[in-house]
Amino acid sequence: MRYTVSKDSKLAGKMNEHGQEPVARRIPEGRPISFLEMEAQFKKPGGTIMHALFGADPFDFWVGRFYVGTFGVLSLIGIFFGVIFYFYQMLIVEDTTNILAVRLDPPPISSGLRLVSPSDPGFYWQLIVFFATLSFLGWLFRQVDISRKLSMGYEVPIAFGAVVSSWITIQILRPVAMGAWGNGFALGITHHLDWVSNIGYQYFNFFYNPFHAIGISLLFASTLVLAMHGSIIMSASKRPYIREGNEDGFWRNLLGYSIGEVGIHRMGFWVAASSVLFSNLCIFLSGTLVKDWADFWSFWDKIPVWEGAAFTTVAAAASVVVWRGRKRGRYVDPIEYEYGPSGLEGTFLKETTHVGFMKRLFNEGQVGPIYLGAWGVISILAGTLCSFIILEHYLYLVDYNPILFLREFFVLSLDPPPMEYGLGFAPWRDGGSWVIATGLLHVSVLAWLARIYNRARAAALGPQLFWGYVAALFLYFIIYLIRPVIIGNWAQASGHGFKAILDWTNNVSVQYGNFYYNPFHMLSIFFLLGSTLLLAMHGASIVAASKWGAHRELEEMMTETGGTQRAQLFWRWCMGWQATSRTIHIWAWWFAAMTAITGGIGLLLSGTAVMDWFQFAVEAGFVAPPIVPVP
Amino acid sequence: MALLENLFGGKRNLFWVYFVMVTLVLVGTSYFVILYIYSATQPDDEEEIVVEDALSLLYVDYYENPDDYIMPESYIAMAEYQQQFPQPQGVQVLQGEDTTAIIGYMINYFSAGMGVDCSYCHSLENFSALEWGDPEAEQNRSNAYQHLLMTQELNREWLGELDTLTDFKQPSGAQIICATCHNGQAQPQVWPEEIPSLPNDFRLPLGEEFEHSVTEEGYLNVNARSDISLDTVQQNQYVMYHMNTSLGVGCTHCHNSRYFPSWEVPAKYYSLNMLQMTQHVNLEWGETLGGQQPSCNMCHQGEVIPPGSARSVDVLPAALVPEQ
Repeated sequence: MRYTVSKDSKLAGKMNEHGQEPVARRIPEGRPISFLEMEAQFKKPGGTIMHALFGADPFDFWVGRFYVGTFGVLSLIGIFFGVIFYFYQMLIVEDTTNILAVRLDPPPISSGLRLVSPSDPGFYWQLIVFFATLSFLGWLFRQVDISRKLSMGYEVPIAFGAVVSSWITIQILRPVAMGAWGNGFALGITHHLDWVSNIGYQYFNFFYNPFHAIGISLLFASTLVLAMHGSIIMSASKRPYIREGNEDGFWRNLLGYSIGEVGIHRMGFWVAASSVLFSNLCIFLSGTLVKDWADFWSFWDKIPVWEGAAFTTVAAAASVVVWRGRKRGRYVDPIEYEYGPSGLEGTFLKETTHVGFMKRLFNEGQVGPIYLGAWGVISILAGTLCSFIILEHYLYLVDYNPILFLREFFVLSLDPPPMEYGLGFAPWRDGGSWVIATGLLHVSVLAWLARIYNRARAAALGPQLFWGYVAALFLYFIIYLIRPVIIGNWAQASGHGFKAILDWTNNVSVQYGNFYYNPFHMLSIFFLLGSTLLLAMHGASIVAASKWGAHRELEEMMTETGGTQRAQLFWRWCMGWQATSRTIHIWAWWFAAMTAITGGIGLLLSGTAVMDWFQFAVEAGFVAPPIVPVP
Repeated sequence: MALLENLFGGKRNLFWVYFVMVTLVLVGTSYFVILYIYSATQPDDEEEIVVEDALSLLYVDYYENPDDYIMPESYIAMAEYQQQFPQPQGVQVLQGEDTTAIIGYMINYFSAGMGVDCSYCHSLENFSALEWGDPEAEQNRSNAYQHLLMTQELNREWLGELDTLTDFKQPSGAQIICATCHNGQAQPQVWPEEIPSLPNDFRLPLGEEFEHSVTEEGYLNVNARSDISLDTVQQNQYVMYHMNTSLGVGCTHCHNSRYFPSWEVPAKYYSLNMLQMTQHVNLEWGETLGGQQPSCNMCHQGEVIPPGSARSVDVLPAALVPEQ
């Protein structure tokens, strides 16, 4: 079926007669250039910051595939001395060869912001922090130089700068704001975990720090985005008949929206970078402005809206009436409205909408059509029923008082039956409703799993997203089903509620002797932060090279062009090796999946095979020495 | 913008105006940052003890003017009693003190500590009378007598033990006295209606059923135990949060938080002792507490050292403190 676009339409000139983007925009003309040709063309002196400032750059050369540059030399100096002093502290000062248990503490808080002398504790911490900062900043500007040489955007150094800002916040800004270097971040492979434990509990409970919650949510969001993006690209690779339309149709059917090729990389770059920026905020505020994250929330109950609830409701309703009554009108081109969106999912006979700001943000504004199907209906019904039971229980807890329901929403929870009920059924208000609601949730997520598989098959895509979701469900079922069954009571599972989930996380760690010493938790955190790192690197590289079409990954997997080659050259010069348009997505999928898989194993072992992770670590010999009290 | 341009005579001048403003802000900020860093690098000045009045020498951080509570006729009655009986009559706890000293203690600790007049517990006709036809005041007096015995026992048996617990910490020497718990209220409300960050019906587990709650196998030790559920851990966390908010400190005050069961931080020995003392108060003296359970906050009021405590053993009558 062919559509026409009227001459008056905004789409005139932007779409071809099929209502699709012109082919010429999607596939640039010209012959493909090989990677070696591309490298030979760009691997020339010039274009660096030093050239721009002083007209000369003494270190503007390559060693093998590594680009050096003036800032690379600075970075090398920092790396060299930082590593030297780290090993000096380990081998000479602490007289140990166990690198896992090194304990590199900052100077004591009583020293304030003074720099301590070589014989005092904390001297080597100062040196290492100085040289590490130097090397990070050098690396940052080296990335700027490489971006300039390749005429790329600055997204990669900006993403790396977010991480550097995190180091500077935790090691320099916060200690200065608190008035002593002793508040800095302790170094050491397991000892930094001690510092994290102690900082978390110094301000009562870090789980109640809202910026911590946002930061962690964004880390998990990064992993989710990475898994989804890695899956969809992998599921299209080695399937030459797959086009962008198959992917878009798949996502729209599944979720109602497909973010598009460049959009996903933009979002990845922003989500990953903002997770770090929120983390900066969360640690900087702790101890400087906020001493007690539990009591921090007492402001919530004191907001005057709860007392004036009736007035607030009337005022809110009135403002909605006024707002809705504004004169709003816009011209709708009937042809554009009727025929504009089309493509793979046109056959589903669902109306679609265009959201302008999403178009601007992600270069993809189409929302819908969404596919329901039998599995979708089951999933949504079960999920809705589960939510209904949970929310009804919330209301029951506050005696059906709607204001209290809103005020206490983040505190209310539907908890599992107490331990004495074991795996049996409990009275409805004593956890029985939890058993039913959680069972419905299981049905819902499994039906969604089936739905993902069916839609991928229908779109002729591979089952990678299905398996990625299986990895996530592995963790989910260990939390809510497998581990409680092995231990023998539902009380080991998490309640349903915002505070309940945070408390569950805290309490499981407390009951089994600090989860930070659980090696699988370590691996899971490694993959979690690694996923964020990969997402930031990949997203930033692709956005920075998107003006040469690096985001067209389906085509680039088959024939690489200038954009992808620039992104590859960037990492080749920066760190010595690079992924390809296809392999980066294999990395992505596995990092995201391993986050859930290792986390699930670590949780499964807790309370079943291992009762006390700290004692486990003591026996394994990777615990830093204990605190020596001052008499 | 055009207005500003006209005001300063063109874009070039406007640039300089902005330049000066930005420079001022940057220089000003730098000045404060440098000043702050400079002050932070200087050694701390020694803390000066500000003597506000006589009472601040007695208490850690508490001041109530007894004249606000003691009526003039009470002062007259006290003076008469002092002249009549230089040695007190029928004293049961504060033995070995003369009337003048006891009157001083009564004014500074009892009246100021609980915000009451002498007549709250005494007959102004005869201060040593046990029965004078005012059942309410007689009951108050008997209760005060019980609490005085309790204070004596707590100071001697529990606070006296603190310096034997660990080599790495010495007690401040503060002692329990009326204001420590009462804080200026004759009948203090130990648990508020709404407890920040805890369920409103939360109480410390101090009953008979928790007799061993603070020992190694007890209710509060949740590490690596398979016989408890996460609900018990949650109760443990509530107890810990209660101590956090009551003392105004984080968990690291008593724990190396990398491993909560370890005994690395000296303050943990103290807090265990104090928790056991609180349990003892609840079990042994609970009947005299007006149906309330003691809390950490009752005395600590958000401070590590309870502000209403006496500064040291020297300011209290010898009968109430450990024998020297």
